[in-house]
Amino acid sequence: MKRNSEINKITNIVFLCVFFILLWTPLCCMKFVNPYNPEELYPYWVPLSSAPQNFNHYFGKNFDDWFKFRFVFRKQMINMYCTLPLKLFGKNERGAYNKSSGDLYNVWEFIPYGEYIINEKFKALISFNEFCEKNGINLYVFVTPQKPRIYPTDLGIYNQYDMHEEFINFVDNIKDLKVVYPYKDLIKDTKTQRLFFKPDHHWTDDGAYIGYKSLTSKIKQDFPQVKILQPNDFDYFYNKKIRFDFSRKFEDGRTGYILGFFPKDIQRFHSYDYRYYRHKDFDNLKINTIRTDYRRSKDSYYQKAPDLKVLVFGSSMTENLIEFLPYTFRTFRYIRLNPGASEGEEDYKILKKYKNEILEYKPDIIIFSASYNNIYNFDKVMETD
Amino acid sequence: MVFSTLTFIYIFLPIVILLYYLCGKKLRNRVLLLASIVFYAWADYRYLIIMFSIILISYAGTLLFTSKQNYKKILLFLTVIGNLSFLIYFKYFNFIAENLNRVVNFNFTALDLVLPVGISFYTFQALSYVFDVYQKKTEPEKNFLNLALYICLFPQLIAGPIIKYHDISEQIKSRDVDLDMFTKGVKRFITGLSKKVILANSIGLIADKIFIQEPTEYLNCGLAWLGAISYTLQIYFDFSGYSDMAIGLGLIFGFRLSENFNYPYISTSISEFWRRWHMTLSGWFKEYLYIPMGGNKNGLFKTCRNLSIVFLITGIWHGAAWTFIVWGLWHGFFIILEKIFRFETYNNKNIFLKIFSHIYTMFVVVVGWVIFRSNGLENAFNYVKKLFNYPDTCFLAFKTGYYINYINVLIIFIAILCAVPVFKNMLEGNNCVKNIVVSVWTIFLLVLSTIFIAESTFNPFIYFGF
Repeated sequence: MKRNSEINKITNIVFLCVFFILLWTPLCCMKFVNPYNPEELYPYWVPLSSAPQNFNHYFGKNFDDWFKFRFVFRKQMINMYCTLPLKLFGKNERGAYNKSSGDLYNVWEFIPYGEYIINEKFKALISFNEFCEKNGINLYVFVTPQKPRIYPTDLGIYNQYDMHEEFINFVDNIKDLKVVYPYKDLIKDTKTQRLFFKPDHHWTDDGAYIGYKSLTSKIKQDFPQVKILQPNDFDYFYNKKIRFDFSRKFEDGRTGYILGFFPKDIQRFHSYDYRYYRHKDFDNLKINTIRTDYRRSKDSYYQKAPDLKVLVFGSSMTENLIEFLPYTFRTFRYIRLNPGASEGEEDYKILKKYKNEILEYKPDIIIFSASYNNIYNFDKVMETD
Repeated sequence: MVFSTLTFIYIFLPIVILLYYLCGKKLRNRVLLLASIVFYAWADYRYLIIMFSIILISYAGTLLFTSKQNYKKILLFLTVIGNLSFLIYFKYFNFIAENLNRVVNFNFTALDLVLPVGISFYTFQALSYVFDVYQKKTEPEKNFLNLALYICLFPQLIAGPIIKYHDISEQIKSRDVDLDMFTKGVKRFITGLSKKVILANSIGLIADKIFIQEPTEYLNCGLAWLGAISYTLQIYFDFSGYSDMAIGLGLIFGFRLSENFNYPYISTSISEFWRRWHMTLSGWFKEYLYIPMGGNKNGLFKTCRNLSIVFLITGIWHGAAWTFIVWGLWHGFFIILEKIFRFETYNNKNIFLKIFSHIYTMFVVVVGWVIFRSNGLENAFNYVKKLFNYPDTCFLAFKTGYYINYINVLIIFIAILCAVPVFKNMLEGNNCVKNIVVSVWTIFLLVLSTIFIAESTFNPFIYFGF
């Protein structure tokens, strides 16, 4: 009995020693320098001053956000959390990894809505079209396909509940709205070209170019002066990095996240030479403004293009399109709907946020470009509160 | 501050433990009070004004009504109203205004109010002190700092357990911690942490995805049941995990806080469920409301009336919405039925009756959680309809299978095992082998929980809203 209690005592002491080592390590190993990281959050350091309205009432939460990026082994922990299920099941809660092709997929690239829901979601866009027509603007809705549709994968249950067929059927039959969904054009070329990045859910320049052709072919029906850019209009270069990784004329280099991996870790999946496009008249494109703050937008002017003014509302899938569209229309403005500053629903309230800008800018054409998985937010377009 | 954050576990806690044990016994209460103030001010320090107003009202009120016996009742009344006024204003003003606008056509404008974290909990603790002094169960506390520590002691400040003053007043004045108590506290804290971040948060993801959907269009019968069961498990592990962390922290600092849960989902009647679920809240209502109203001493009718009032207020306490009120009354209704028909299976040895009773209890509890979780009564009604609507049609193709992957099945299985006392008996006792196994397992849970916390970015406790 006495021996039992002595062993218990020693066990407790050892247990507490391990506990305290674990408890103190993060505090002792904290690095105060700002780690470069796109997900970094900057705290207002002083609780009582130098913050909005002079008082930072939320200093604690602010500090939590600041500290979690400095937590020792955080990165390794997250990697472990993400990698282990991938190794065990080929999936984690964010998506899946196809070992044979090296492709990563996100679970949210699937939509579960039947035709009824799709109809409901598009009603707002039909109203938006009426608003545009009233103001002499042609609206084109450009829905960009998701990678699992173009490169099908064994995501089992997710594929099973995706409503892609219903959506194609819907697009084929819609009459009140000009909708472009370049799925059928893309699917033809999957064997000859790499249309989507392997470790990312965005399309490559090759993919975006096919999308561009589908879109501009539709626009050309109403505006015959539009000249669709041809392959010989471009120089090409090859790079293993995915689109976000390096700077281009319009975009700073940043790396996106997928399946919970950190930017540097995702680079171990970089194994393919992607073809990038650069317009031969690249130097003559005049870029007026590039804003990268809460409003991410770009304005450009290209004298040699037909005199048309275009306003594009887009998402990350639209970023590659702007290697092509500014050379197709003389005056071009692109506004990123989901810059990451607000939450999904608010991003898509176009009328609330941009009504005045649309009326002042007076475009000939509005392109509303969004991903297939963002259909869920389409009903927010006409909301004004 | 939230227990399951990196800041709390890896900055706040080590520093507070170090300061607490470095300073002499006389200063320990001050260290804890200071830590509690920092802990509470973390989310928004303006809330401190409310909390200290309540402490001050309780302190001054009790001193006044004990010294002026002639005005004792009126002073008690004013103290109670003073305490409750903050809760009523911050938690219920908009709800009352909205309903008055609807019923009698008033035109109150909704105020932009943010509910101070934990206000329901510390208001009830303050009232416990006031009632204890009034009923002469204890002397009024002359030391303001001791009273402040009782009300804002950080382990139980924002989500309980609700400690009655007479249960803890002696511990505030004097307490000791030995190695065994400290170790138990650490283990209890880590167990609670893992219940919260590994089980509750993971299962919560399933429940949230299902409950966010419009029941009439998006749910089918199987999915509705999966959502209801997931939420039933989520709320238990979320809240009992929090209570375990609070009790564990209490032990680390020498306090023996009351237990709050005792495997409520093994209950075989709703009356038993309330003896096992949120025991400190039901104990509070029993001691300060039900018994003063007469309890069950004045015949069946008055017992039923008293129970109705208690459960109506229990519902209101949980939140300013009709769903909470209906949830409270739903439980009250079945308890009254059990009283009328003398349905008490606690000591019954008939296995079939026990199984039937357990199914009945869980059915009432699960449907109750659906009401509790839903956004509005209409939503709740539609959800409950879906629970009994098979085969059915819905526009959405996300069916039950979508939410059941290997990991979710594993976590739900583990959660069900942990919701019944399977491991409790295995791990209890003074056996040294058991102690070694439990110690290693607890360290593993701490590492695993930290991985889950590091991975997550948002994990507020459900019970913060109440």
